[in-house]
Amino acid sequence: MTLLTLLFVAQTAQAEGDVTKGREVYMANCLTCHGEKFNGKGPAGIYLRPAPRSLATDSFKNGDKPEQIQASVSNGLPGTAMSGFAKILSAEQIRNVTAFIGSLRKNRS
Amino acid sequence: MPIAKKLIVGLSALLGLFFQHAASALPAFARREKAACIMCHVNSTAPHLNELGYMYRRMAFHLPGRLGDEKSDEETVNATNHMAVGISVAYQYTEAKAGDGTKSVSANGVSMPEIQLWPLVGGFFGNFGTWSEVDASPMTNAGGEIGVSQADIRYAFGAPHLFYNFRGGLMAPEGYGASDQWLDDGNLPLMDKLAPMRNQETFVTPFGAMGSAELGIEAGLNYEKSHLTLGAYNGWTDVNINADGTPGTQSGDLRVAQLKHNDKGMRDYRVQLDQLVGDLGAVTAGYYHGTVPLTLPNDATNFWLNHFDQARLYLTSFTVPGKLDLFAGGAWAKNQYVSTTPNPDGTFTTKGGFVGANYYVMPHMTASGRLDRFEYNSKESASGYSLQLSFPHENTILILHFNHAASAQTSGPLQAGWNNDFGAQLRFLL
Repeated sequence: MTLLTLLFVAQTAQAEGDVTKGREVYMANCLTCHGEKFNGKGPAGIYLRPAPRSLATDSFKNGDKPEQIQASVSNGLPGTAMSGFAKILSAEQIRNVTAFIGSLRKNRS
Repeated sequence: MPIAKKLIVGLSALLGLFFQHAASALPAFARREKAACIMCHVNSTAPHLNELGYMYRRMAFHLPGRLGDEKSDEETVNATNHMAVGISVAYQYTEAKAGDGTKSVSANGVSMPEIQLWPLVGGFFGNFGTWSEVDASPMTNAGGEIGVSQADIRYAFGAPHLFYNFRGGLMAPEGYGASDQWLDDGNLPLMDKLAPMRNQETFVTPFGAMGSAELGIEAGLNYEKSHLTLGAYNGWTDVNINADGTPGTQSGDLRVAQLKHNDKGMRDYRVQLDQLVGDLGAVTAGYYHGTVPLTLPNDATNFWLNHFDQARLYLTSFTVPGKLDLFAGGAWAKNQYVSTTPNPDGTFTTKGGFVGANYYVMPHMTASGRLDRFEYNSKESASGYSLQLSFPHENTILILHFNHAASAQTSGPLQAGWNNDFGAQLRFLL
């Protein structure tokens, strides 16, 4: 039973991504535009038009369900500076950063 | 960073040149910054830089906030992030009508391939950067000439709202908006479609030698949206290497040594202010003291040397952001020429201007047009227009252009003529 529980937890973590590891991915790949405070005002983000979204409070163009966030991270948003990360990050890294972004939005009103 | 560590990082980058895997579809800067082209280029269309792209270049190829970040630079040292290759295939058709009414076709064919190599570009060691470019047309250029069109080292330090930048080496001019490669990706900033007039009174390419790379140093002061550049250069320089390894076109100082006159030399100076006005556009004002040598036909010894003092003003308006840009510019110059021959020296005035627009039809299509008018001196002038369609898509761009230029006089007796130039270029960047 314990083994089954561990397997379930492990599979869930794999499907949903690891928030802690996702934060590391964010810091290395997203911070420059989306900022240290996730408000879209990173050192490069303040020069961009359209401005990057606040990951904590803004609505997302393609929706904020995990699979929708994952699709935006993977494929990017045409017409904006948001490029697709499918060729840059591994599938696991994309799942992790998706989980991290999702965690930022839990307190969104 | 200790020197030994720098050497290791540099060596790693060089080794990467030979052991790299297949290059990503995106050019080097986009790969390094994990960004889409549109982050730094208006409508993804090179060469039009937006404000972030302009800042990135001035900060020695560092994003604002990463200037001075050695760790970030170290992590991104990779051959594919610091080199690029471009291959162009072009078709050119040029038809001309001389003053006596005779028509001729001076070009009608495909040139391929032109190869551009950027062997080392991008930011290093937190504050340093480099830009190098080598061009070759081995299949169409007799002798297989290879040209080093640019090779510079940059250094920048400070914070995004106040920073200083320096540049040294063989450099092409850099500016913002209309002052910087606004219609095509050649180094000539504008009015490049009008031919230079080739006699001692008129050897002034529109807007002078600004379009040519020169050996020199530059220093920049950047405060908020104001960017001042001071530069000193070693004259109009064209560095070419023949296929047999011998030097090609002579540089300025080699020619100056032959001057019989007590000339003031080949030194060039430039002062330029780029003032960005929020999302509205930019104004660029500059002064340029330039020098252009002109080799006489079938004469290896004698030449004219043209000094000019030029004032310039460029305007760029992002009229409908992301959709329509309007731009304009003008220049006025006082020229003085001297020669190695017994011919008398002289002075003359040149002036000209242009207006144009870029319309971003859709994400992968830009339509551009420009009207030019230039007076080489009191007797000779030229006017023309350029139309261009460009289709950028990731690492490929297709450019179609049509230029018409009409001269009120060519060299010799007063006469009128014109030429039409149609071209198509397909370029791949890796």
